[in-house]
Amino acid sequence: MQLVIFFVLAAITTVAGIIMVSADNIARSIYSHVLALLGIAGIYLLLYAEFMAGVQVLVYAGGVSIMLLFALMLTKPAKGVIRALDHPRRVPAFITAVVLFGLLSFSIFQAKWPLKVEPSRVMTPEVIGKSMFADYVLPFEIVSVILLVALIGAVVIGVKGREDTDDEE
Amino acid sequence: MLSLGSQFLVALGMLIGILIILLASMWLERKALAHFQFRLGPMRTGYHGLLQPIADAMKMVVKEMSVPEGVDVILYKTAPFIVFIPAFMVMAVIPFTATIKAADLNMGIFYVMAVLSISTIGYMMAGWSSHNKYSLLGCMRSIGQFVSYELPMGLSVLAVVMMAGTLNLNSIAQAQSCNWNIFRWYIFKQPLAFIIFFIALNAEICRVPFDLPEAESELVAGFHVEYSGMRFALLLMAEYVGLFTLTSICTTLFLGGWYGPPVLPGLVWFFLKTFSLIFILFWTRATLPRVRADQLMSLGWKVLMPAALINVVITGLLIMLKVY
Amino acid sequence: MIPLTYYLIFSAMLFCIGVYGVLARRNSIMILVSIELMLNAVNINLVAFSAYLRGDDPIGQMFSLFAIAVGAGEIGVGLAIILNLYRLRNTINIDQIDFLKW
Repeated sequence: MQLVIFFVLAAITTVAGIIMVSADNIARSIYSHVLALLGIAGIYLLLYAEFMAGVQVLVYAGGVSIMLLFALMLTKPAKGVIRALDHPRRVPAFITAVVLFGLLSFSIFQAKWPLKVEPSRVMTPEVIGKSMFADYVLPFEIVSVILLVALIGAVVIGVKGREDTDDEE
Repeated sequence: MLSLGSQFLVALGMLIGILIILLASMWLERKALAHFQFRLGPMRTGYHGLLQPIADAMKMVVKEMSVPEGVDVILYKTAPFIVFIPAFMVMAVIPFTATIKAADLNMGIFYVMAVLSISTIGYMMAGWSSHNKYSLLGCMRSIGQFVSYELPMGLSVLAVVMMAGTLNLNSIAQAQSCNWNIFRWYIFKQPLAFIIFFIALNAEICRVPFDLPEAESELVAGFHVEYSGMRFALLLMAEYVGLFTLTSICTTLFLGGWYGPPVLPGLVWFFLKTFSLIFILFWTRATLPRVRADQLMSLGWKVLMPAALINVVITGLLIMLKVY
Repeated sequence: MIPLTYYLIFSAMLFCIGVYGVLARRNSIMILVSIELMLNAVNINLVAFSAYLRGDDPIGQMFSLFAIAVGAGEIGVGLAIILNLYRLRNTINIDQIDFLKW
């Protein structure tokens, strides 16, 4: 049963990813990216990583995607539907991707993984919270500083550009 | 654990129940607004207008679902579902009593926050694909509003979670268990968090005074101007279902869920508390004017978020000093 | 029970789809989106390894939580840069953004 769910989710995510990288209409490709992120959240649930699934939906599908859609709205071309014509580089890129996939899957099947039996079911948010504030406090604090710097930096970069355009007009 | 058949029956019962509550709150809203404004409201359809929501539903079903020219058809047709489904998904974790609930997730309230953030994508899709300037403006404003008020909502919930020690909605309600000692409810221990959560709830479901996204007189109904018929009914249902589910979450978090003095059964207390919160929301709709877009954003970022952060810090301090 | 290799092949596939997106797309926003897909593929890998190889140790989920946080910050700054570029040059087509070439 879990295998069926895994294949359904994997199929949805892969198809969404393929639509994302090959759609002409950029709005559609960003929405299929959202679908791919939701599919990945489902895969996290299969791995019993429920906190990761919640964070994935909350941060990526609910936050980063909105940011991307806003950026899309603010950078549209002057007329018509937003199209992404990228013919010259499609074939070499496709060959690169296929070769990379071949190499990766070859190495995956060659390796001998020291496996436990099953994914453990104990990864509740409580366990993750305790571990984060006991063992991994330093990365937590550093990531919060990084996010603060990114927030301020993004605001500064955005404001600076607007002042320049206002001065030109 | 119930068997699969009885779980299915519980879920079916919940869905039918939510539809009845939907119709009831639509009727209640019109009657409440009317009486606040010294008029009578719907009186002709049924006794005192009780059949009015059914008449509205029938009207919306038979209307033509026109698809305007120039829209992105797949996105246009999918958007109402993405708006509508998360509002229903939240209902899966609401504990109506100790035994009547659909799913007992260990991360109940986190699931609610995550699912609510999916509906913002739906609003964006609806506004964007409608190919209409008013829709686009409405959806940009509404996305700004949703994102700005998700943060104070999450932070005020964080204070409650810190006190209860768990994300499980059932356990949070049980941490406020009382017989006659109502002062164990979190609304008395966290009044600031309750106020912040209530205001943020107001903004998340686009009710006045925060209903700029669907402002009927300003933005020509905002992001759902191009929707008609059953699709519009889906968007409207999403708003009312979100109203009920979010006030139920507020009841569970702050008002003690199904606990109360043992004069009434727990389920009755739950609905009593939820409907009094819904009535307060109707009351604010009748009383307050709509806020401007920049006032709305500045309220969310400059007032509510610092207040929620200070609340979290004070709560942490009090928990550490063993006061709570 | 799903074998570990299934998750690894799935994440390799997503990674290669992201690589194709980065190499073939001309719009800068779409390149950022493809990079994000690659980040997500790596996160699946980390969580799968942590679940299958180290049962009770949440280290894989910790790693991917921090990766999600940093990735979200990176996309924010990247989008701010793209918006600024659009205001200056009115294009975000990377073929036309070659001002630093000799």
